[in-house]
Amino acid sequence: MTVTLEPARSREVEPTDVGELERTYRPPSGLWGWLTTVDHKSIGKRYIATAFVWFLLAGVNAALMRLQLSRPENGLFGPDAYNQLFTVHGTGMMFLFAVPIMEAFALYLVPLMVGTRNIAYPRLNAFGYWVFLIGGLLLFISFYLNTGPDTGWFAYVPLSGPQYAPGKRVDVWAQLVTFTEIAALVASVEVITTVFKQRAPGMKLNRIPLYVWSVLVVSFMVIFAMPAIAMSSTMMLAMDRLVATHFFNPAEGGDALLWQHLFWWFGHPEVYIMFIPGLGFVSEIIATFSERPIFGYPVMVLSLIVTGVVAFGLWVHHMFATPLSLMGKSFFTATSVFIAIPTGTQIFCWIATIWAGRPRFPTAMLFAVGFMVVFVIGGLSGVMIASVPFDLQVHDTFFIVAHFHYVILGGVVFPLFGAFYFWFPKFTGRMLSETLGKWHFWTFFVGVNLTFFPMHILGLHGMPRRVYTYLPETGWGNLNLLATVGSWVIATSVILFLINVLRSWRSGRVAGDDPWRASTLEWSTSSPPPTYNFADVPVCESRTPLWSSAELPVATGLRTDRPEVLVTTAIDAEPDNRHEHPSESIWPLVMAAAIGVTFIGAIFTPWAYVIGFIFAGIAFAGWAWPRGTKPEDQFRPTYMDRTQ
Amino acid sequence: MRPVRRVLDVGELPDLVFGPRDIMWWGTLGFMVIEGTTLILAMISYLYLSKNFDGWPPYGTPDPSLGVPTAQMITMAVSIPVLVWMQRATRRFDLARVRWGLVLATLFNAAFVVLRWFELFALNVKWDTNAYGSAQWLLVLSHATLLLVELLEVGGMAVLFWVGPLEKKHFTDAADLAFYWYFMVGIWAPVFVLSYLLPLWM
Repeated sequence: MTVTLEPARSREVEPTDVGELERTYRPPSGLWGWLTTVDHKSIGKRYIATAFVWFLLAGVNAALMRLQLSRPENGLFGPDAYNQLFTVHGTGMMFLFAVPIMEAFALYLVPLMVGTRNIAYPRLNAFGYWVFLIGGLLLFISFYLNTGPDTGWFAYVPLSGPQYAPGKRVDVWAQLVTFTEIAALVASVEVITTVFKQRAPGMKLNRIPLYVWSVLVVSFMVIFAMPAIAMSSTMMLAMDRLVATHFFNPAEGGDALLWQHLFWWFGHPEVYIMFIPGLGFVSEIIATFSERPIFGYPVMVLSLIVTGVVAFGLWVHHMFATPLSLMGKSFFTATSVFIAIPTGTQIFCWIATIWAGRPRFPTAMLFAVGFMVVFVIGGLSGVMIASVPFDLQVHDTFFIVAHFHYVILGGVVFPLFGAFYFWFPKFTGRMLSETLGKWHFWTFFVGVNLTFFPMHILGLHGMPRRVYTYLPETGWGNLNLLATVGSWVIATSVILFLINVLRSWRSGRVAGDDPWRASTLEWSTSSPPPTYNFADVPVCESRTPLWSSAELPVATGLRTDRPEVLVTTAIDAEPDNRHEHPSESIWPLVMAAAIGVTFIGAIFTPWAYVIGFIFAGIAFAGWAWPRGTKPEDQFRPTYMDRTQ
Repeated sequence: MRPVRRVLDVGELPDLVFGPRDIMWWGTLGFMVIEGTTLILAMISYLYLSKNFDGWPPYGTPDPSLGVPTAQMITMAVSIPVLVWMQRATRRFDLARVRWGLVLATLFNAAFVVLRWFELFALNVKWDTNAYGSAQWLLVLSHATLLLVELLEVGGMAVLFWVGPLEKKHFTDAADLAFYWYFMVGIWAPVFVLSYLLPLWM
């Protein structure tokens, strides 16, 4: 079936009462409104800002590490402080920045791009943010109190077990991970439901914007990957340390490799969870600035899905230095090489899009092109280390550090900065400065290569990662100094970006609804969008709805006296029913506090789980209990009609 | 703002639906998949650890007892038709049946929790005895958290249906609760086999 572009009923269609809609969606004012909001845009923006703060703090750690390594036998930090520096850097970047900021963008953008008024489960969305905030505070406050985790971002046992890591540092890590996983899992459920059930009428599966496809794939990946780390850190590692279980204690039949399997079952898909949304950003940016639909849309979608599936078949390539069977390692070599194919396919499609289009190169587009260059270098070194003999040679050296920074900075941070430039006008109503933006891009591009390319050579020369210093006789001093200079260039670049954001937010050029002449639905509403996103639900007649016609086809009839969304069918996006969304509530914050008490308390005592359960039970009752029921929603025994 | 063209009126669409048409059902499904994945990974870890021992349970560790776990499995199985009966009543907006169905479900769920307490003793091993004990407690306690959370939900739902204020949409919530119940009981079956039967066979 296709969408009927006629009134569904013969009743008279009245224009939407925008005034009433604004009253319905207007949040309470002041601090209470800030604490209780369930608007996906408010939550998305604060999620982005919070994740960026963690990026800056973890980035300061990186700069300090580079200072320490800038010359041999440097005495700036001792081994203990250095262990905390790199662990908190890695943990912060992976768990508190790279994945969450991608989720944050999705929480803001997906409802707008699929043409709905709010994300599915808005209160759950607020809850996810508060849990994420508590997790970040736990990590960085612990670090500044000299209790920061110090066993690396993957906390290998037995190093992180009770024998070799006494104290509470590893427990902080284990519980921080739980907070971020809860936040990621709830965000994924929200995104999947929003994409499947709240798309604009007519937005069939083959009309979904590629960015939305990318976060849909990632949301499924999160659901299957993150339980592994949530379970292994909270229920196994933390329990080994707290109540003397023996999951990873070989003396009592436990197994250190079990940790590695569980960690990398999560940890390898995590890499793709981070950068697949980046691929989505790049697709939207390149299509817009090439002024043509993306080349090979079905191939692009299939590539995203294949990447998401195959990502679960690679985890052992992180374990090539362990005594696993050769046949097993060969399989994982093959899959590790294979996964380059779908990503390579997408790169060819982007090049074809630019080739066949009329490309413009504003800052967002520069970051998209910069992504291709840096990411391809990281991908090629990835193919190299997929080979077992080569991997064994460079295992735990700076070559690996160089490889994954090219992948992550290339695949995550370049597209992310591009996305900032692209959607900042939608977030704020103002344009970022292009002049400062170009300075930002070039300094970042130069800085990244200056910092990380020398690390390839250092690694091939045998410099191990995670050492706090090295001897002058090694000859590693000059390349390390070069990398440190590169880190200063990156720092300069990030400062330029911050100046650009702060200046433009206050006094940037007014953007208008659609400053880039883009094709997707978020550009059809005002900048920034109203709290209800769309006065009338858009109807999608093509893959590029804003390029298809000057007028936007819309559906009317949703109630304006309550927050209501249109629910459509999962495949064809046929209008199906109307669903009332919940209003503002303080209970998501209370529930997050209960989770905080539970898991932070569990660093010290298992009874925290009992106390936390009671606290969470109270929060659950407050969250779920109905209040302010409207007469038309009350149940009457005679209500027997419309049963579906 | 872009000029608009009204092409569709959705005002007459229903605002109350059941099953996959309702977005709350999708949320329930999402959490079932998350919890199911967690339990499956716990089961895989259990089997992985079993390879480290010549026997399972290890030499000197007693086998688990079967009495209480069998009673639990039977109680869970018996609860299913009751929940099916309640779920069907939700679609007919049959208030009396849903109310009594929720009371029975609460009693069943309370029985699950009590039996689970004794099931922990039936393992005949402590969590800190060896990796076998740790794996056993991981499986059984992980599933216990589902029982506890569901008890909160079903108990709260029963109170809501008896005391109010009752809304139409609560009937779909009760139907989703039954949907989750089938998962909660269904996922216990392989855990029961691994925790209580496999050690007797190995």
